Amino acid sequence: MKVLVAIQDEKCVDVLGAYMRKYPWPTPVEFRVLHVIHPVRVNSYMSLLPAPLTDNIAAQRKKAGEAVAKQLAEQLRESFPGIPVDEQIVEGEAKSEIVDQLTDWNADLVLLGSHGKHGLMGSVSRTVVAHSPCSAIVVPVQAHDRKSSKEKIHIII
Amino acid sequence: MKVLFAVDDSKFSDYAIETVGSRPWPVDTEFRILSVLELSRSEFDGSDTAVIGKLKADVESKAKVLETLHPSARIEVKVLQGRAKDAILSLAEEWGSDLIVVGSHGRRGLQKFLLGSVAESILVQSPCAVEVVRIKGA
Repeated sequence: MKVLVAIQDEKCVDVLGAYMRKYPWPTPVEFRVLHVIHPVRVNSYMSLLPAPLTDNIAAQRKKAGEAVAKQLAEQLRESFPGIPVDEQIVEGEAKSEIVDQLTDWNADLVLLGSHGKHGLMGSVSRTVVAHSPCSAIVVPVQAHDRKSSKEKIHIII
Repeated sequence: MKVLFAVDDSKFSDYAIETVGSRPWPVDTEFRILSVLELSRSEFDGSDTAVIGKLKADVESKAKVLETLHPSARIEVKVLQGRAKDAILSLAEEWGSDLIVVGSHGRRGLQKFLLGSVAESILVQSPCAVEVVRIKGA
């Protein structure tokens, strides 16, 4: 059974990990931890913005994303010795990238949190479940208060 | 874990019971199977009694499937009348379920929507994890 675990938010790592430890996985099973990096969105006069300025932000996001995926993957490797766990980082819009990965990898199940930093009221989880080619498990996660979100907004002048 | 199967008499629910039911659930897992007859105008002409009878037979046969897979598990069945999503969510809340299992679609099938209305409503308001079972390739 191929299970894609979509993680967007470092705060969800423990919640997803805990749920996965409770769930009775059939054997054989393999897990793929997926994190989707949001591309840097640029609004500038005539869209003329030199790459060096955005590259730095993109690199930061990639590093942060890799860390989140790695964190969950390591938890799973520890909790499920002998079960293949791999990590995948892609860039794009979470909703569509997750669904694409499900198809490309021929997943049997997708597991994800109900809420994340991005998206309103679980829109990512609901869209993924609606478009998923396979079964889905949505684990409840506390919705984040927008004010306490640590997402940085970069202003480039 | 307390697992609530929200079912109807469609193939999607049968599939959900077979696939999720056959996971290696530990012996202390508790299962409940709930079928909801949505209120209709026919409640005044008594024809609902026949339908309720059919739904009761359906949940009993689903219970038998689970019993074969997990002989020592505690299994309860229930048929309620009302709005499906409300009945399912209140039972989940009241019972303290850990997981609600629901088919992606039900009686009305795949015709119009990517996701059935009951599955969609449960996702939005569920107090616990939800497993939406999809028949791959259907």
